[in-house]
Amino acid sequence: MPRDASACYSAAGSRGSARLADLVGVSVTTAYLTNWLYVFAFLAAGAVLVVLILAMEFLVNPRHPTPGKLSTYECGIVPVGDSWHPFAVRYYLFALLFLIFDVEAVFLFPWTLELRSLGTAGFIEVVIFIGVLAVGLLYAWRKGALDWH
Amino acid sequence: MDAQAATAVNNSIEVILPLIVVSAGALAVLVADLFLGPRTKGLLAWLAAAVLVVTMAVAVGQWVTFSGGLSFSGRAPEAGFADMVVMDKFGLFFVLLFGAAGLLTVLLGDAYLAARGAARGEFYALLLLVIAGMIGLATATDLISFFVAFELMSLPTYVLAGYARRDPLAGEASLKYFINGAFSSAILLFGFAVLYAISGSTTFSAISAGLEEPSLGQGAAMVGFVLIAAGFGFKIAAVPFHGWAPDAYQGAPTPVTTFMSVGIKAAAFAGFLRLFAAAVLPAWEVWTPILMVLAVVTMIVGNVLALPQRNIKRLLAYSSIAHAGYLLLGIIALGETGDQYGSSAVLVYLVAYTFMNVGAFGMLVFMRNSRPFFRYTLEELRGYGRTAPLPALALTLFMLSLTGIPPTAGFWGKFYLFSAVVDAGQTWLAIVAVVMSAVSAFYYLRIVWYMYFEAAPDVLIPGESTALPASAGAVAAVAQGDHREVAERPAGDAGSSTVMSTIAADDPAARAEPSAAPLHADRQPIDAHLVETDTGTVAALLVAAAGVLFIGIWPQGLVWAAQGAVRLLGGG
Repeated sequence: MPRDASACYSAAGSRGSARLADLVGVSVTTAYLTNWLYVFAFLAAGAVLVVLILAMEFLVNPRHPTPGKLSTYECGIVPVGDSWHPFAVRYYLFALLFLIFDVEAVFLFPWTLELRSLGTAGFIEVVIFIGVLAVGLLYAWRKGALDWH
Repeated sequence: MDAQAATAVNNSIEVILPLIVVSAGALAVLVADLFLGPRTKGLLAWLAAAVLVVTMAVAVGQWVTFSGGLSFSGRAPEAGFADMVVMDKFGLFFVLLFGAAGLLTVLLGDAYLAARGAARGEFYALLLLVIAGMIGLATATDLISFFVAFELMSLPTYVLAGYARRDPLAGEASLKYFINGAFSSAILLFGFAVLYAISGSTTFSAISAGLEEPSLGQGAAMVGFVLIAAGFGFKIAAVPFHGWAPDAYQGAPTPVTTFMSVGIKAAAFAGFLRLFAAAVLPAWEVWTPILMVLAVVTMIVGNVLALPQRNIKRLLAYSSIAHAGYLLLGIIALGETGDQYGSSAVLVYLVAYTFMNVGAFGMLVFMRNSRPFFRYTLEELRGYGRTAPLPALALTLFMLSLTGIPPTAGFWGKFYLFSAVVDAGQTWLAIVAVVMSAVSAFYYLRIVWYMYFEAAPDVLIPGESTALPASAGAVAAVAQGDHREVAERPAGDAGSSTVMSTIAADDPAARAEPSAAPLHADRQPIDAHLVETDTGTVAALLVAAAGVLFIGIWPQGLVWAAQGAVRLLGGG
């Protein structure tokens, strides 16, 4: 086990040309980090785009507010009260069950497209996956989470 | 699928075989619970125990075939799933340790849960899932599989901590543990991200290679390791990340507290020991000072804060914090020397700690089961040595072991840890540890003092007047295998409040802090008629006591096994 690994840290700084980077202990000269420049460029471009669109909307859009326009649903049922309202915990159970099978669908659709290339092992893995979810459904069913009394 | 891929899949399945057994067992327990009637629920404990026994048998089989006999020669670790997991002797060692901790928890939990009429199926299923996560953590060789296993271990534990859901203290325990745990997981993940940025990989071996030529400077490495140490510190309850531990340990049901203090801690040390040994050892100069600070602060604060505790459960929580500090010494020794002597010392200590801490918490379960109004205070131990000689002797043994007095397991655990850190040239750490062990003797031996040298309260309360002599009889009855007498004790809320007022009048400390008395996990008196058989608890205590004594008298076998387990840990 090399005991002079810490020397590598200081060496990494002196190899580079960026003085400012040396001060904060970061050397940006490695090819590995330049790969990440694309990610940062992407993030920056995304942020600029959002600001640009919102600014354009603010400058160009005509504004004629009326009470009807400012309501939550301009053409729909008139809302009663606000959304901070206690509701039956059963909705929560159904939401949980929905979430499980939502995730299942996310996995199953790509699998059907790659069924042949994944072969028998892939098929068995998916059957096990569905089996585990089926145990969850069985549990919810036997515990009465599916009854709406 | 071609033959090579098939071999790879088969090898991968063999690598995670203990994990598959324990996960499938968790599902089996969950399904069995749905179809068992109220009279047959007791079978669930047997099913859970059987799953753990099969898991351990598989691990023993793999260990034996791995080394070709018990010579501990060792060959290349067998990796699976593209180097995401490895089942080497280190992993198998911890499968066995987790299996033992799980079995002891099942033994402790059954009477406790049955007496409270709590649902048992979910308890065992969640327990087995936690163990699956722990096995995953001990065998992970990639930051991704490491984190998935870390969360698989943590999430069911949050539920288990709040298992006594009608008790507000259990809710508090669960919530504090959950919020702190989720927060620390995020911090850990940040640390992993920095580690990835420095080394350019998530696989342990590639991280190790990448750290020789780091892409970022020492400042970035420092940030990464501070974050990782914070996530690690939260999970093992090291100071200053220990704030949740006393409340969570006190509020959780005692069998769960036992498992949290023993199993979760061992699993966290297993995972991070592999991370430090196999992945980030080249950057040892950055992370050893961080761990040194953590270790010293944890040993001092944990032991000093344990001193004023009068609730035994809370006292043991602080003691558990202090032990995390001792354990960190082993990883520091690993970092300082680069050889695996420190790692093997951590393994020895974890086994010893498992037996003695299960014993200490198991005694609380036992006392709680045999005395319905027991609220885990020191004052209630008065005269216990006379009324219940055998359990008092067992508790004394566990306290001596936690202090580190020979010939108990705790002595050898501390001996190997401290000698590892002296070998590493950090004698000052060993001095701090020894001084703090001496401090810990005060609060451990005070428990013994209360049992043998403080007289039982003179004023007997109406509810308790028959209970105190009866508990001596009950202990004798348990020892003889007849448990009828335990059920005959009176129950009622009136008795409970008189006990409290007597204690308050009797003891100035309790009077000064009136809120201290009702603070305990399960406030409602248990239905005394249901505590008919405490065989499981007694069996767990006997196993723990036997383990403490066996390791104390003959530590060599354990040391050999631990040294065999860590031999290939660094990937060399």
